[in-house]
Amino acid sequence: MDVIEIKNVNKFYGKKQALKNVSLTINQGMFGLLGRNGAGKTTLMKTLAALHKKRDGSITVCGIPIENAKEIRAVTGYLPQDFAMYGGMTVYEALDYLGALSGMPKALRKKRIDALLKRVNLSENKNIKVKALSGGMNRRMGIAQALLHDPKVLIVDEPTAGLDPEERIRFRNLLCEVAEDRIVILSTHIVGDIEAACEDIAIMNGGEILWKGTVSELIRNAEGKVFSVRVQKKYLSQIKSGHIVTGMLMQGDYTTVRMISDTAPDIENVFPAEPNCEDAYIWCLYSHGCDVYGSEDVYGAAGGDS
Amino acid sequence: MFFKECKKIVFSLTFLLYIFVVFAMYISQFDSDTSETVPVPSAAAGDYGYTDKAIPETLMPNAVDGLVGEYLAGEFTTYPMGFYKKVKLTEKKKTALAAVITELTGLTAEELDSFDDYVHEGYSYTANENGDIILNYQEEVIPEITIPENLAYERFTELMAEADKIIGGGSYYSKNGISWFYSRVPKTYEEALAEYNHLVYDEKVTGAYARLFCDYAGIDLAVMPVFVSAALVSLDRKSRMSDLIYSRKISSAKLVFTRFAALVAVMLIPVAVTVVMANISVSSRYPDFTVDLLAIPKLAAVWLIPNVLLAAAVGMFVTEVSSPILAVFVQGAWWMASLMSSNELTGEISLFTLICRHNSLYKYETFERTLNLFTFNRIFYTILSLVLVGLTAAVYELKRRGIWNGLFSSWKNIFRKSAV
Repeated sequence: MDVIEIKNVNKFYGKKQALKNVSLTINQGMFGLLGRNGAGKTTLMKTLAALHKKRDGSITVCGIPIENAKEIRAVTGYLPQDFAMYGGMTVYEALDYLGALSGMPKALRKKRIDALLKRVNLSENKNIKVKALSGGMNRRMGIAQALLHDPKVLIVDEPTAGLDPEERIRFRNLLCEVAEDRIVILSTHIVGDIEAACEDIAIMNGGEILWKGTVSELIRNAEGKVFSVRVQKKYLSQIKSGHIVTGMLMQGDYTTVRMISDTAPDIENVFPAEPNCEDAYIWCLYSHGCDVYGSEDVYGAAGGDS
Repeated sequence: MFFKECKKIVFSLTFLLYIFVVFAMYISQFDSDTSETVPVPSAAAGDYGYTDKAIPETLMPNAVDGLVGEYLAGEFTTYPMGFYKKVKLTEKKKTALAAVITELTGLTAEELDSFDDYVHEGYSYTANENGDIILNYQEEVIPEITIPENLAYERFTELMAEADKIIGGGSYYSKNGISWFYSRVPKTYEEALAEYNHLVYDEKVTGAYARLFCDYAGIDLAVMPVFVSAALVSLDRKSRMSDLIYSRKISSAKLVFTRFAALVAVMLIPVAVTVVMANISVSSRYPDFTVDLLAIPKLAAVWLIPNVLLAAAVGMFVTEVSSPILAVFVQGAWWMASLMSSNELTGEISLFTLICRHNSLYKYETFERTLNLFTFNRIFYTILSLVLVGLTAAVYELKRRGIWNGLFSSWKNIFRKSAV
């Protein structure tokens, strides 16, 4: 029964509520958790990895109640947001150490490490120190360690932040391959990763699940809400102050501006545009009353790495 | 897992520091102290050093003279926790002490207070007619004291203990003070010869050297392991690996106890090397005698392992609860307090003495007398260490489940609330 059931989960840090009545069902394959920084994604991921205690509600991972931490740890692999390893160990030693912590016998560890290093394209780097790895290699090693004990669930928190485009694509592809026979939960604030890798997604904000469904449904929701207009640069600040801008393309003295709106904006030559995933995400936040109007967060949330 | 943890410890900087201190202590203290063999006492020598012997006939008048002198001077020298401190008594305490002196000497408080001729012992400088500076010694002048004939030695020790209590402890009249300042008498030739024979024949040389070895090694081993263990425990945090390790299948108890076992095993290696060095050093200096090669290893195991266990356990526990800096501070403070409070360096230990001392090749009888206490002491610290490691595992599990973040987990977040 490879499914994660989350029902009415609440969690607090002191008086601050970090998760508000979160309910989700996550099936096999890639599941994307999208949200701004501070939306509660990492808290939810850590709660699923039995690293945080919920206050109430229920969670079962592959039929195992989250309270059975030891069993949960046996079926989950976790790649934390700020993945790091003992810098003085080699890649092989670091993986071997974590394999031993997972209770794997030595022979199995050797077999799995060799296979995983090959899969994440790090076979030739197995004897170099962890501290000498590049950012991309480090994340790939992170995936290898999370898969070492062949978990049914892989929890990956903000794995592509800081990676160059090529490494990001390579990493996403790797996750998709891994998700063929297990649940992979990808948490990110980068819409492009979700669009490229996930079918089922949930959007979080302020500790709540704002929306859940498929990427296609998310985009469909934004149909008729996205508009484009080509204006002279001098009108740009006026448009930005009055509309939710999701994209701008500078072309000489002119700029093509994409914006979202309930109704067609009262601007000359504006025309409806096909929504993309970023537009749809911003529309989702806006339509749920989140403060996105004219703020710089729009750009950050819509695909920036910052 | 065990060998992987050992490897992490062996390649840490703090372990290098630990090795350096263990060997530095061995070379600078034990090795230098034992560079010469103990000579056979010669009947013609005349001077055989001193020994501590409670001889009431000399001890009692000397100690009472000292007490009366300090009473009249109005201040008392004390060594609380080994640090020098002058004490002046309140009127109430002075009255209480006068009552003790009255029982010790027969002098009433009025007689004591009306003694105007008191002169403090000391030196003064005067210039003669030629302008030369002359150093003058002035003996202490106190009333003539006669100790009542019916004052038993047992009652005398009780009264002295009471006087020490009134003064605030750590005075010349404490048990240790009396032993140290008023019980020292010259050794006779027969005594010196008997001690020598006991050392080389009964103790087979190494038996006596084992105590001296443990005395020195016990000092650094009561504190240095805290650096190594605190560094190991904080390494996960420092390497931002805590969550990664928390999420693995291994139980908290297994992980914590494995790390503890690795710490102790690795830290005992340099100690074992110094034990071998001590054996070689001592036995090579006494080629004409049969030495017991197991004496030093056996005593070191009983004496020193609890020190390593405790310092390592405190390091693990306090680091897990709070921070490595606090762990070093806690164990360092305990170590300092124990070291400074051990006025008596030869075997006078209590159940809770952290650093057992026996800074002598002799005084076997003191060691033998306190052997049961010593054994209980070592067992107590062993059990305490295991309890602390168990608590460390419990704290680790709480942190692992996100139930508790620990105290002062970061100086920036001293008042951070735990996640619920």
